[in-house]
Amino acid sequence: MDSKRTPLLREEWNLEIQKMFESHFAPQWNANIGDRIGEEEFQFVKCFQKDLEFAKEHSLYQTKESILSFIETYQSTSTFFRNQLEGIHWKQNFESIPFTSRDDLQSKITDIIPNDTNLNEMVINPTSGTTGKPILAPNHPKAIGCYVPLIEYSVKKYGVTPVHSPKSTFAIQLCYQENTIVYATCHSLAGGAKFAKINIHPNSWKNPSDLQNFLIEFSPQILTGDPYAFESTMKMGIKYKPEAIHSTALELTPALRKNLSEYFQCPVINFYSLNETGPIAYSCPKNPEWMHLLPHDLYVEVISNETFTPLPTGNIGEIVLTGGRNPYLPLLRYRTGDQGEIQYGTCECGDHFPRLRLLSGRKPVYFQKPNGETVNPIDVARILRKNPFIYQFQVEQVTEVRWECRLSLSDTIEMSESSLEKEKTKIKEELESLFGEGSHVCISTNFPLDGKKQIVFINSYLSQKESKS
Amino acid sequence: MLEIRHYIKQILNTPFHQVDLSSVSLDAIWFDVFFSRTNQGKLFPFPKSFDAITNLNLKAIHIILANVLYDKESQIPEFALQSFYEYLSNTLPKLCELVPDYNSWTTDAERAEELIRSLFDAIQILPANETKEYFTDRYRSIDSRERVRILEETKKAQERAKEILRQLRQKEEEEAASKYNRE
Repeated sequence: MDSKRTPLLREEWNLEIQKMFESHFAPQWNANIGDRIGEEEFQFVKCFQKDLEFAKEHSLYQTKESILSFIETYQSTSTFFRNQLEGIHWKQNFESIPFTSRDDLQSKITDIIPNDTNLNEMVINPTSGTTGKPILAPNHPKAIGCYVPLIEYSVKKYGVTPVHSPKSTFAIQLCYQENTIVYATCHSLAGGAKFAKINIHPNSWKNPSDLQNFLIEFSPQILTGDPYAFESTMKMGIKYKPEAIHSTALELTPALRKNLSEYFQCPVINFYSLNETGPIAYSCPKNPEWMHLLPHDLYVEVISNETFTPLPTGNIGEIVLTGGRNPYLPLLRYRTGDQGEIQYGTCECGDHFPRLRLLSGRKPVYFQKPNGETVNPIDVARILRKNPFIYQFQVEQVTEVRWECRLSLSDTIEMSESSLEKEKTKIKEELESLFGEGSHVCISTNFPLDGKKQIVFINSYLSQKESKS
Repeated sequence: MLEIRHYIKQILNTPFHQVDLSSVSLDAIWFDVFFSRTNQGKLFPFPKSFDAITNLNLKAIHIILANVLYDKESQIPEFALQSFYEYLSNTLPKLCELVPDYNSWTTDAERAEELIRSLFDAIQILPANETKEYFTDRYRSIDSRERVRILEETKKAQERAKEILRQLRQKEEEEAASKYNRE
């Protein structure tokens, strides 16, 4: 560890984290990442945490009226805000403010970023890109630091008390991918508690039993990851009993939640978080189908899919967000592309912030190799995302051996017909190698680029098989 | 006050054929203007002489304005001399820099309008049949300084946009900040 990556790093934290690095059971670490929290960021997050706790205690969530001051602040510094608000009486009529689309975040980012922000501190955390072209959301370490109190708030609601000590491991994040970064670090905002991101895929370990032993050796309080990773851990027969499972990124079905809870013998917290916004909501301990809005600085609307006007409680529509704390990405009526309904009022769990029920969110889709093994779509995304000219894509498994890969390419791309063909062949070969022997991938380039949240991975072959059985 | 078009016309009709720009004394002209307006005072109205000005274009703008203010039919009311002096000393040199050829003020109706509106704005008077809001809007839309400011801001914004895109590309390659979960 070095103090450039973790500016507040202390000697005793370093000694503890070295134990993790050098563990006999450690995976093959391939990255070094720190929390990048300096004194200023530390103070920012502590203030945020204080405000969060006060707001939770007094049920002070953002409303249409209270979010106006946020908008006013950015009206003078963000060209995008200024343009969106020009000529309308937005203070009197919030609904007159035009929406921000995913497309805006991609194409107008230079206008959105306020003109008084220092760009040097910008960071970009890559996402899996399982629900459309990933948005390279610029962020600041201080806003990423706020994940700590937000996640801690959610686990505390499930009876987990985070231990802020370098001797403790607060969380280990599980992935199941052919290839991904794997690292260990500690979090200044958690008193130096350790954290590791590991890949449970056999590729990542020296011995098959190391994963199990590593988890036991460092006994993280919670396991984080997506339903796919947890399901894979379960299938691999890994025995570990965390204090809670913290699931994000993909839809967690009630059946899988029940299975995971029984298998790991702990509560399962479903978490709704977007790269563009950070944490949004966590599942209610009393009624896990519903998720409480987590931060106090986000205003949530649910808008009709037909009329695009806000819907009253009990109606399903698109979730729209305003606010946040990311200094590079203030959100003004941002259409998330996620569907759900909202409910207000007190809750027996004690968190009286509004509740969201997400609808058919991000279902995990797996592909199946002709030999029966499964393929994580994230590995497919990894291959396609490294090509800068691919703007959006969709991959569908049509039969046992056949995949359709639909691409939308940049229209400014300067590439000859023959180089394009070469690129397509290269992608085809890489995908076929991933899908295994006997697989056939067909590439087309007419996928529409319309800024909409498209389903990226479809497995019509398995769906047909499942519906027949 | 008359409507703005009267003053614009006066500017467009400035009798430059009667003026020898290189030898004219601005101090003498301004003395005459204020003497004729007030019929009193034997002293030069401003704290500092303008005769040191050698830039003919700047001298010409003084002449244009003196011509408008000298004319009693222009119905321009009394105004604060201090604001006017500051206008002559600060705003006019700037306008002269942005629109260097004085002929532009007397041949281009929009520039003529800009000049008279900039004067009225400085000495805080309104032409007939105009609200303050209308006056300000119109002035802003034709103000050369405003146009240059917008151009400069646009240029700055473009440079910032370029820098943002460069940083985005660079940061994508760089290390992120650790967080407990993924999205």
